[in-house]
Amino acid sequence: MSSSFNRRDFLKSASLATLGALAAGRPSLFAAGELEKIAPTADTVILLWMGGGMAHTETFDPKRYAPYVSGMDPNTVLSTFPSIPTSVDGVHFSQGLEKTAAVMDRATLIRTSLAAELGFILHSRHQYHWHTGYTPPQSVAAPHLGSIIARTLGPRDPAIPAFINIGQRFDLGESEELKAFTTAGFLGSEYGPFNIPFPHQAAEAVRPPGGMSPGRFENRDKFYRRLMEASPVGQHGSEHQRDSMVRAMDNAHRLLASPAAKAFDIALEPDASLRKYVPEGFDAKRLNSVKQNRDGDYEAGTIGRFGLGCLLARRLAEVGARFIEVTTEYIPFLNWDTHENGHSRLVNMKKMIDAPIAQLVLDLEERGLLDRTLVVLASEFSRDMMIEGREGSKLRNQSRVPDRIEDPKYYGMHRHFTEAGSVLMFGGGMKRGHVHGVTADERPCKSIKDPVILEDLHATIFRAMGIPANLAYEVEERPFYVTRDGLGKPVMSLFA
Amino acid sequence: MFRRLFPAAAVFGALIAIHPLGIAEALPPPVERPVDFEKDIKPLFEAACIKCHASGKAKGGFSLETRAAFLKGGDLGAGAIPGKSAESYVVELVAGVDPDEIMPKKGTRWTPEQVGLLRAWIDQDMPWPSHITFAKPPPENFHRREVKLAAGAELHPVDQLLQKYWTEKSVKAAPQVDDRTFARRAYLDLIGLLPTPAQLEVFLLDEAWDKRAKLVRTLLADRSNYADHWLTFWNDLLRNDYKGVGFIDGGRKQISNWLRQALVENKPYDQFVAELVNPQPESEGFARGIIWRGSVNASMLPPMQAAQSVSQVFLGVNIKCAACHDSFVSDWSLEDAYGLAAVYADEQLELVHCDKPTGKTAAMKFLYPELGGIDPKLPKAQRLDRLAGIMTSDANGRLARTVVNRLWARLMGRGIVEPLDDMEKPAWSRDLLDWLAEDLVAHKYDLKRTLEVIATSAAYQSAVVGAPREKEEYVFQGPFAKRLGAEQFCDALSQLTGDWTRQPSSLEFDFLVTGELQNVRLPEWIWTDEPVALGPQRDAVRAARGEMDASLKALEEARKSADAAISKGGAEIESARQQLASASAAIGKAQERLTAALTPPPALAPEAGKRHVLPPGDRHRLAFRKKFNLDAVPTEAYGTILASQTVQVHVNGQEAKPIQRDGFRNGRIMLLNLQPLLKVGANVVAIDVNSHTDKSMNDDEKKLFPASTMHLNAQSGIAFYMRGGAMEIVTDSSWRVRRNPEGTWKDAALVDAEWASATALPAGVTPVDEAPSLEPISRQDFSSLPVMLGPQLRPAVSIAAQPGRIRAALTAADPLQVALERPNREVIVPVRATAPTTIQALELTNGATLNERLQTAAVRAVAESGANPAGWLERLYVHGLSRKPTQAEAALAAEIIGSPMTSEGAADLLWAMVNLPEFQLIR
Repeated sequence: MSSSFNRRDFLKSASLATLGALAAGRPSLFAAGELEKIAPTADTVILLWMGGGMAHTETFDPKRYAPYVSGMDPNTVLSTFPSIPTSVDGVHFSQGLEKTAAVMDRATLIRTSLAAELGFILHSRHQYHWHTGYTPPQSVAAPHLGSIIARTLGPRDPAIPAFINIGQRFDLGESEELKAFTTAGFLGSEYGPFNIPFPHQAAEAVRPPGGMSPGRFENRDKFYRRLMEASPVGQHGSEHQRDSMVRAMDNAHRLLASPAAKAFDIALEPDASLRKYVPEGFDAKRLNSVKQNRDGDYEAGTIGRFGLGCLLARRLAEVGARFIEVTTEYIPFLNWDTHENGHSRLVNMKKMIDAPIAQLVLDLEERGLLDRTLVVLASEFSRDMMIEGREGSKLRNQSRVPDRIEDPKYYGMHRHFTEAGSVLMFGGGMKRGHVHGVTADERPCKSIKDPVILEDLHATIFRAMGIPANLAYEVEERPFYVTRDGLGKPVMSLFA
Repeated sequence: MFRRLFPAAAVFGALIAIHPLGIAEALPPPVERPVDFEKDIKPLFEAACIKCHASGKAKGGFSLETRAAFLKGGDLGAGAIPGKSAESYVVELVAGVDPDEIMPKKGTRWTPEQVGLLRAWIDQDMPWPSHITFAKPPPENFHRREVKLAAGAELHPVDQLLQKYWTEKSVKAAPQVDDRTFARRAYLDLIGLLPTPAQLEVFLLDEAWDKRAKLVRTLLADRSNYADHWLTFWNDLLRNDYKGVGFIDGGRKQISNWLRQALVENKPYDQFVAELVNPQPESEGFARGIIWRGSVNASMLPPMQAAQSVSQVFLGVNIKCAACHDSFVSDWSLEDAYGLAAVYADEQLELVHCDKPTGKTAAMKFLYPELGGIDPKLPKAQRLDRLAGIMTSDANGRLARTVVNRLWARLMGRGIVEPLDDMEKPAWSRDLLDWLAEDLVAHKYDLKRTLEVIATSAAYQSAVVGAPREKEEYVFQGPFAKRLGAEQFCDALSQLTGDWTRQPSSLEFDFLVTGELQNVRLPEWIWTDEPVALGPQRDAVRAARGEMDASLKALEEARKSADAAISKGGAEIESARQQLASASAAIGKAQERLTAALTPPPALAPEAGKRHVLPPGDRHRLAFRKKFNLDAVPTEAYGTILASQTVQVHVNGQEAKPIQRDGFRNGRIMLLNLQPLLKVGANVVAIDVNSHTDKSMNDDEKKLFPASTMHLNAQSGIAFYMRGGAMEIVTDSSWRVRRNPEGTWKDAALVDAEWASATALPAGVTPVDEAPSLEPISRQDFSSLPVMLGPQLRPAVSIAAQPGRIRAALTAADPLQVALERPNREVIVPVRATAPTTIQALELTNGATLNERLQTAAVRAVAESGANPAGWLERLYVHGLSRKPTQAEAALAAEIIGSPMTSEGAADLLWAMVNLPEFQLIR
């Protein structure tokens, strides 16, 4: 017999593990190098997603303000809003974010978050990259950050799905692109997102099906169990499959019947508390019918949806959710995706986010949850009035900038900028009142000190959750690391 | 010591010149004991050397695969001199005498003790048992191998081989299942449907000794249901029916109709593979892969995707790692992956290592060079032909093994080799795998034959067994219970509820070509010859188009001869060049003529700066009518319309809204549910065609087709088909036509005599969807217009004519199917996840899709069976579980459906039934 060497044999143990995992129905950890044991500083992550590209100079990193003057030179425009002070001396935000500015003393602000260079800039590609840590396409289906956390840590409360995704619809533009990363990928759908496109309808997702009374629902379930017990078949051979099916049904039923499910029902929130999250004149009934247009004419109803999402996130964090993403919603050319009317649109976008962010932080703090809840606000890239990608890049410009601005629609940050971006973090073990990194005060307003690449940002989030950046799962007999090639390095200076 | 004269060792040479005894003194002493190669030396080599100097790799020219190779050494001279460790170069290297030349280059340095071991081994004359090599092992499961069965044995071949296997493993076969369990298993496994109570009854009453084999053969002979079931399996493997990114720029092409047809016809597998590897337009979607927007990682460029897919699906070889770097988990290298990708590349490929270009050009080769090479000088079409030939050659024993293993896994719940995509792993029974593979080859790659062989074995018919515990070695004892896949579940649900969709995911499925439908009268393409004023111009366009087509063909011919001439070289090149030049000139002329023909008369030219849209009421708006009488309204009537322009269908004055449309730009192929609009007596179909669209054109389009040219389209036409029971209404010249009709023309009362007769298009004229472009469809850009409607006619008609049901595999995924793990197929899915998940259970518990279907079915059940609830629930059990309910179950079920039976109760019982593990598992 030949005892010739084959490297595959080294993986024998891994393959055995795979088999076991197959039986258990989930991918196994890849036995790689040493994994650091990390004491987590957070139990829950709430990701506030500014989909569409949020300009740093218009939000958390204001530069010299150039008020609108007809005929102005676009090169002179770095910020279209004046700056305002925050609760931390010397740290300024852009006008319109007053409430968030008031809680800056609880925040860690990264001003130098770099977006990857992925060639021709497409939102969906950068969003995919931000959410999975990998550039699309991949030869295996890459899991979303939330799925990695769900797989690694599991739910905090078995009745609450470990990964809840609030505010994104999947039947609008680029929906397939969005679906491509809003998935557990190879980790398996058990760790996939529980999607709640409309927060005010969240309760429906965890209620008996339409038209069924709770009494009938309970009866149906009891009857189902009795029928199953009465079945003469299935006493041998496939107990495992049978048991796991019953367990899944139990989980679903537990969620639907659990007191925790009430957390999904925003209608149960006292009105006074709900009002803090939504603008004046908000009417949830109008949420489904409101149409947004590209001029930035936003009704209060639309604006309130993100606020409701933040409120829902708080309610879910209270009952033990693990990972929640709340998005302002990515719709091509809408919301943060300003290819024109950047200034006027941002007036509304700030109305959309300012109060809810601040209120979320204050509510979590009041409930004693902020210390163990990591809130992260981020976007796929930033924007600039002149520069596409980065300085000197040969990328095709995706919006027109005239030599002189004679129409307010050209006044705003309309091009995709990758050399700096603001990431705001609260709680979960991060410092308070801390600013990381410096960006230039003149165009290009790029990162000039302590830039943070995505791998390191992810590693920081993972570390807060107690997950080493070189953790890997096995797929097709090879490792898939939670940060690219396992190389992410947490930014230790952010931790308190 | 000739080695030291080599220039690369110059420093060394100098050192030695100065201090001839230095080296020996610098070396750790050899250990003073007999050294055993296997125990002492092999582990050292494995840990430090073989990554670069074995398994076919020989960095620095040095390989230690065998003792001889070790002695021979590398570029710097002999590796070792038996008996003289102090003079053996390899010892110096591992000892690190020269700090610039230390081995291993990466990783931990050898300890003096380890060097001492090596020295001792060399001094002891390098004993090396000849059976130990570090050579690349011969590929597993690769060479053809015949397995002899015991002569005269009556046992089924599979069972005969398993008997031997079980004896070796000292395990016992599981008992055989009863007929009901077998029937349910065979139906679901082979055609993906539950046996109906009637089918089950027939089978149970059959007293033939070989009734199980007969059933297997009958099921496999059900061509349509076989195809519609196995479509799911192949869609997963071939990434077909893909829903996902890549479509925006036409980056994906489906092969649904080709695939279904191949399954209906049971295309021999070798031919099936050849047509996917070296594709025709209908099957090219697989090898084309998915073309994503933006900058794509080199390892995901289309040629590399093709290489990955072809090797994974057909050969069970995963080269995804090797697409970026030499694999860490297998022996595949970057060169291997690029060698295969190069076959699919239009240009030379540069090797890119983890996104860093290496400057090296890929050398074209097949993964297993022993099967033959591919001449890189050949044009791509011939290379692909050659590749298909290699893949399906007699010598390739991997092709058949890979597919029989997949089929075995499908039926038994686990492969003979696992994972299914890594055929380099050993089989748990080599004999079984090889016999099945040889049997497939011997039966001309008939996959149904393999399924029949497996399904008629006692092994398949034995009781299900539990999965092995973690870390336990797998021993085959019987099939695993399998969970219904999304499509199986939805089909079974349709069977129980009697409610099937009529809406396929694509209108390209052709039920005619497969002979599944007969006596269908195809409609004719019709149009009008009026107005006469535009006739001559249209003729001119037609003529010019013909000329253009001819010159394009000539150019194609010229290209081919040029290719041939270039590969031959010599004088023929010059004549090929002339041929090319004259073909090009002819095209130029044809283009001029066409442009002239298409230039609209001044009256139709747009004013400068105006939108290129004709005013409403334009004379090119056409209406078609057809009257017919019905004695009775059929219970079902579906129709289809195909039109070159925007179209609406009205029946008896009411617009028929499409239930499905295949969209190119404006979706002018529609499937219509016409039954609700029909009435007894006089009926009329009225079709309204708008020969302009109301959209503005972009700049490119304006340049491409000046105003109105699209309305002069020589290739306009419509075709309509309706079937309801025996009634067929199809377009032909008996239809009436009129321009810009007014008033109640959609009404049956209108007198047809005032209308002209429609003109049937001449044979061979193919209408084109909004044919604006003069370019022929380019295969690289299939999504661009024009789209030929001709080939779409038969499929669209066949779908409307299809009296039956559309199986789930042919429908678009709904939330229920997605929750049940129907994948979007961005990546190849060899095995679907089957573990139940909470989110899936939630969808089953409160998802709208399932609950609405159950509700509808329950209402119908009450209406139809309210009088006999006991009969209904017994049928439900027999249909759903292939058995009658026990007394206890019947009592429970009766309790929930209520007395009298309520629709809520019926819905709740249906819900409980489809959620029972017994229902969802194939046991």
